[in-house]
Amino acid sequence: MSEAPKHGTDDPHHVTHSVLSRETIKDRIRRPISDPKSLVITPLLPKADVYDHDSIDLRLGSYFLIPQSPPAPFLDPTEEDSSRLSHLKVHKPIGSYLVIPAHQTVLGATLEFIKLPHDVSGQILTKSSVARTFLLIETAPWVHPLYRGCLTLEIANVSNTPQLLYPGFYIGQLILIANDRAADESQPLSGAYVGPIEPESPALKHPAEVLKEIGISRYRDPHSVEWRSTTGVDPSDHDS
Amino acid sequence: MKQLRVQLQREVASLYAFVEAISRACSPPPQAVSFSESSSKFFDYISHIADQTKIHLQNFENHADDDAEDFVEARTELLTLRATWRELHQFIKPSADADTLNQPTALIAALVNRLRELKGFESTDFTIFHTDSFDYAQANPSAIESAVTQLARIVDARPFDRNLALIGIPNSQGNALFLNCLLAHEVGEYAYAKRGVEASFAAEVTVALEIHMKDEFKSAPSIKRSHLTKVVLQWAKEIFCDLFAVRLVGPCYSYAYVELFDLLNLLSKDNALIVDAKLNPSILMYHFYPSHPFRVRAQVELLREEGWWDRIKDMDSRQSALMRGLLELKSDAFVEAENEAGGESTKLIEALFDLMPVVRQEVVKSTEGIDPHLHEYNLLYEVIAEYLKHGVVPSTLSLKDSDSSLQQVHASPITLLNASYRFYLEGVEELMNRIQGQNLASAENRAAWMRKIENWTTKALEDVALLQASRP
Repeated sequence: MSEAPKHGTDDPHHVTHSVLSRETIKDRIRRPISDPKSLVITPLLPKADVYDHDSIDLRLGSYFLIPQSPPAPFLDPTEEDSSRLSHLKVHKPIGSYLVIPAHQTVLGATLEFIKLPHDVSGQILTKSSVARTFLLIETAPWVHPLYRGCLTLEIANVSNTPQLLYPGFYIGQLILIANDRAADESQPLSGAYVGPIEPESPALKHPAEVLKEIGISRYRDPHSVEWRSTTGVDPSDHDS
Repeated sequence: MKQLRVQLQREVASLYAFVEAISRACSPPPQAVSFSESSSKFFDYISHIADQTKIHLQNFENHADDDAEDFVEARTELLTLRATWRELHQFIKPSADADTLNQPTALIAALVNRLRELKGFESTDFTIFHTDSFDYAQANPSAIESAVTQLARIVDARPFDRNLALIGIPNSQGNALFLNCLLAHEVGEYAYAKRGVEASFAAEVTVALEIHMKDEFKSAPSIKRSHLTKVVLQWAKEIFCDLFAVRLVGPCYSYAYVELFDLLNLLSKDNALIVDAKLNPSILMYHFYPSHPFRVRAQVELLREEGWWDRIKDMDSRQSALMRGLLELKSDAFVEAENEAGGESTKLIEALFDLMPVVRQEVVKSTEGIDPHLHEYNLLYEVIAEYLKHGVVPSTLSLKDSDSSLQQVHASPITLLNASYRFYLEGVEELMNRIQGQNLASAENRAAWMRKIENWTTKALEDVALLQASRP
């Protein structure tokens, strides 16, 4: 089976950067899960040909998170549950549909669960037929090597017309790109988004945590006029 | 006093409002959520029978002109209508609460398909309702059927679908997977009622009681004979349903059973069985149900006969230590809880022991031809565990053939449930060790990854159902 050629190096992690063809995708899918080069895309329904020459079509799953006004007046990264409470979870079994109003957004997920090989990145694009109805499915389309899970889709209806989302319909295409250096599979996986099977609300980081990392000592608290310290020490003490 | 017509109008209107209030929960069904096909079927029927009841009530005031005898008959009809709607009340709102986000849809579909493999159950379907108590429940099909049949006859509605059964799950467990394997017991209760198994046990129970209790039973007043017979019949029914469940889904039923009733409490810290009834009262047999250890022992005996035991006995989990201990337990360890009060206790248990071969025989007969998927489990358990260890949904498995060529296979739902539940019991540490920043000592961390294993298994069940449906 054809594999991306090596660059004249002995480094087993070193491969040419190229888009995987249908044959290579099929070969990677057949490999056992213990092989770091294995690719998982499941379920691939037998009645349909999902392969293009250089991509694979993905379907819309059945679970959605519909944005709703949270109890707080804004999405608040300082509140632990803010992200979760800002969405309403909805299940639409295959055969039924979800209406997405004009100029509204919803989080969905691919029907397919994906595990990328250690030497392959992915990019998910809106299928052109879907894009022409002014439905966009991704604003964060890059998928890292070794990612596993259903892909969360940030679906936006940017048209002036309400539209129907039918689970099971093709919605995107996944392009797989061989990297010039493979990720180390022996390293532990990042726990934030391992193996989601439904869209997940974002894991918002607390501003104190993020700003402290870059040496900023204070931040504005959205619930008061006060500044807060990123180090846990009251900034007014410093000022005095 | 107002004239009869006016009085009757008020009584009829009261019943009309009562029916409207009860049926409103599902007529029309809530639009913000989705329902399984069987729930929709149930709601359609409730809507239909509510409409028919209301039409019937709309014309009811004519009865004010009936003669005395007809009037009594008509008024009794109102009473019957109210009683039947009161009966239906307990299922309607709890069924509307069990939308597809609040019931284990994939597991139920797998159980229904499994039951449909059996002769006589090809068209069976289940509607799920929520229960407030932590109890799985099967609504007695004949009781519902007879109540609704009478109602349908009165209000001229179409008959209730005899193949639609109602099963209750604790309202907190709608999203769980593995614990809900206990639903297989309720499927067994449905089969028990539909097959009329009790009739075939009744004669055997009498014989067993005559042998063990002799004159104490033979010359007892009929009310006492009936009570004693009922106790043993009740025990036999519970065990029939357990064994039916084991035949239907395999050892995952027993894992769930042990977990729900926390039977690991029967093990000492060196994994030996504690059989002292004072230290561990769960060994006691109560009149309403046999003791949990007795029931698990009966399940493990069946698993051994079926060939499952050899595949699971070495599981790295206290579950298998418990099962092993129960297998070795002597029969006289089981004690009648009501021993002191009754005195006939041991004899009842002996009668049950006599009945056990008949129960097993009846279970095998009722599940004749069902494939336990043991061979498939044997082939795929390690592969499924490997997928879960990698955090991957095990719906499409790549494995090496005997000639080392690679092929892709899809496991049956039964194999998925048993292999994944086993991994859930013994493999969560392996999974967590592959994820950054996990603390094995943290219950919160562990629970999160155990939940993930359930989610991946649920997704695999959904995928396999889709793959099956789209097969050319």
